[in-house]
Amino acid sequence: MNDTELDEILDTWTVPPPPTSLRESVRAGFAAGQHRWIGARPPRPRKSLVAAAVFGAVAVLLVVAQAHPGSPPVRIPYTVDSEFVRYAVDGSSSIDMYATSYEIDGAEILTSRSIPNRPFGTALGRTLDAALPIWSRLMARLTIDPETLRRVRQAAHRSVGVVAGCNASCLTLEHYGFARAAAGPNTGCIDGTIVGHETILNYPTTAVQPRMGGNVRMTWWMAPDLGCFALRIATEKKRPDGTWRLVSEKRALRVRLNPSQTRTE
Amino acid sequence: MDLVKAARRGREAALLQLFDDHHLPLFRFAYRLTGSVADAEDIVQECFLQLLRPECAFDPRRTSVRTYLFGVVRNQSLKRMRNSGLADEACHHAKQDSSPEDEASRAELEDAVARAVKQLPDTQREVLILAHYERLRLAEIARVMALELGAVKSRLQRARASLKETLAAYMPGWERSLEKKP
Repeated sequence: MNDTELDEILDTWTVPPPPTSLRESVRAGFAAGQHRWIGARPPRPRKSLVAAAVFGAVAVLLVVAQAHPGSPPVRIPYTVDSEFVRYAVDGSSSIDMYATSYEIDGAEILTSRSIPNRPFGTALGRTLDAALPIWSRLMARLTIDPETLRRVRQAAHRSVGVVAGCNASCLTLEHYGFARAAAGPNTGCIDGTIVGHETILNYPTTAVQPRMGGNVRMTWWMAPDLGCFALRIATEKKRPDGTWRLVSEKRALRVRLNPSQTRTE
Repeated sequence: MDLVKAARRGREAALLQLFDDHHLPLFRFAYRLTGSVADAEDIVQECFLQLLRPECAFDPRRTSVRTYLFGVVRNQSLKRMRNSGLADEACHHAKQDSSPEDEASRAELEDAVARAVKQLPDTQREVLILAHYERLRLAEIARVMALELGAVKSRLQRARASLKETLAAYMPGWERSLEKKP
């Protein structure tokens, strides 16, 4: 067999076209990661005056946030009390945090949260919860052109975001967002693989595993009746032998419908 | 402003332009390494998002974005194959006996080529796919794989020699045997 013959025979191996959803997945991943990436890369201020002004503004925001923690901007349709559990390698567990929150416009909004046995950490965490989004918006306005900002906001409405846990000794929250699934009776609020159905706190949920890749797998139990609130979130990491280990979990404890209805397990 | 910098500053259009420019060869490369559309899709998505992360090591002064992306796809594919045992499975299939007469259809021939390529050692397989199917220059392959140019040349030669031997049974008159099929 000569080289030309080998080339001809090799050319018979064709590749199927990439799924049409690939472009949308990349776009949704970009939109979901915007907040973290931009927040993680604050640009250098062009003038020291701007830096001083921003610093002053942040200081004011911190004071204001501490004085008015968790004040809701809109009428809240319901709230969910949740606990966030972390699992060690030996299987033991500990409570990271308790939180009360609701879902609106594809974003989970915390009305309050507490870190067990750490009152100072709780106060500092609440301050950061209030200040960081304002800081992020401020930085976005200074560094991103209005047209891109408008697109980012539009993209946010096409995704569903949750608080899946906390970082840095629970001082900051761990946010995740994935593209919203197309409407339909058999969809699970977000794009992903539906792995089951379960009733949690009397609310029907669909368990969905969004596409993540790598060695982390998340399962979200989405409640369409609560505007696609995730009543449970399990995060697992892959062991070297290929099996999955549960590392953290968010579990709903109680749903309170305003003004008087309450469902408990 | 270059596209990577613009995408990192939040311009979605820049990221989508990068995607449109590069995703097809990256998808083909990932598919040929993993043999799975779903894995290839995940890998390509991850490689574009990785480009935007603050910890990303891409430096346009040292390498082109295409070379960098091929390198990411390569690493991600190998990681997945090791984790899922796909490499072992590929070898297993390649050892199965089958005669050219049984595989006279184009689909079967295609399958035979895929198995023969998968049977190659990892680095030979990667060099062959990048050189033959993606038409990358040897110098660029060397950068993607972090190898010396000489090592790339020798691996490509070994891969082609090995394939000539493996696929020799399918060669004599394979086109004619296809034409006889309805």
